[in-house]
Amino acid sequence: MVGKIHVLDELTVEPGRLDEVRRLMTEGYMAGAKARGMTLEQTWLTPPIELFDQPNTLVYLWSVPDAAAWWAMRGAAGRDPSVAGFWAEVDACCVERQRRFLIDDQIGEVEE
Amino acid sequence: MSRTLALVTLAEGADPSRVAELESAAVLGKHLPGTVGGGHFTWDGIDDPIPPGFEDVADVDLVELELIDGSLADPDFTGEIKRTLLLRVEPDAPADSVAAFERDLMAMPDHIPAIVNWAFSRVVGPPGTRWTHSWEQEYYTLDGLKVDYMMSPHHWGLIDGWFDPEIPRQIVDLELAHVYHATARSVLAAALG
Repeated sequence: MVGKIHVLDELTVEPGRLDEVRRLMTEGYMAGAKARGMTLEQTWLTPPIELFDQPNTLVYLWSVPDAAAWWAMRGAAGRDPSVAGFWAEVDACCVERQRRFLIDDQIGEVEE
Repeated sequence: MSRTLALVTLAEGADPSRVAELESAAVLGKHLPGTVGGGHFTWDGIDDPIPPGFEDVADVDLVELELIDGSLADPDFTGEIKRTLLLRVEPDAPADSVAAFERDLMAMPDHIPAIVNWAFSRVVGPPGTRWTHSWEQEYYTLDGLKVDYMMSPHHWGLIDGWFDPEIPRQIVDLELAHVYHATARSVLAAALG
């Protein structure tokens, strides 16, 4: 049985538009994501300083408790046309975006 | 070779005696709770045709299917669940994405042993139909569909990306017909045999 599922959003943002995307995420996505059962675990920036002549990537790590919660999240987003509209707005600021799903993995013992 | 399948939706205010006749028609599988977007019955296109005259009391969404691939692991299947998903790939979807989507979907039975028999088909008619693909499976139990299939990481972690409006590679329209009904025989044995 799969337990906690992580949702990893990677937004590769056009140069000069990081603040715009940050603002979109904060004002246009966070509350809805929380209402759909998503918990924001961490955000990252890479490379770790804003580049003004190359893209930077914003990384958002979310979680949901299990597969049933995943489907609840997915169903709620599917029923709300504003969610797809939101991502279209974000995509207009990005050169690439992807969402992946992750589960815990066992790291095997490394023999010396 | 093609075959036909239809989703039947009762009209509001339909003549109750005609509806009762429809509900007793053995050729129709009555959808179980949890069905989404596909009306009240599935006619699986085997044996008798839909009894004539039901256009008066129901909308009959008939599709013509051309098999892409399928598997009949148990030709003697005696139940209990037949599931059909009708979907529409967006007309502007890149051809390589459509091919990858079709490959991914047909790999599901390799990862989800609860899928007993299956058929994946292109919808080739009638002209004007909104559907492009049909994805049918048979399961020994309802849990095979609702638990093994729906909760498989292969499903939600990989396949659903083709359907998810939050994921850039989505190519399938959000409006689906996800329907299932009890059956005591293999519909797909007739289709694939």
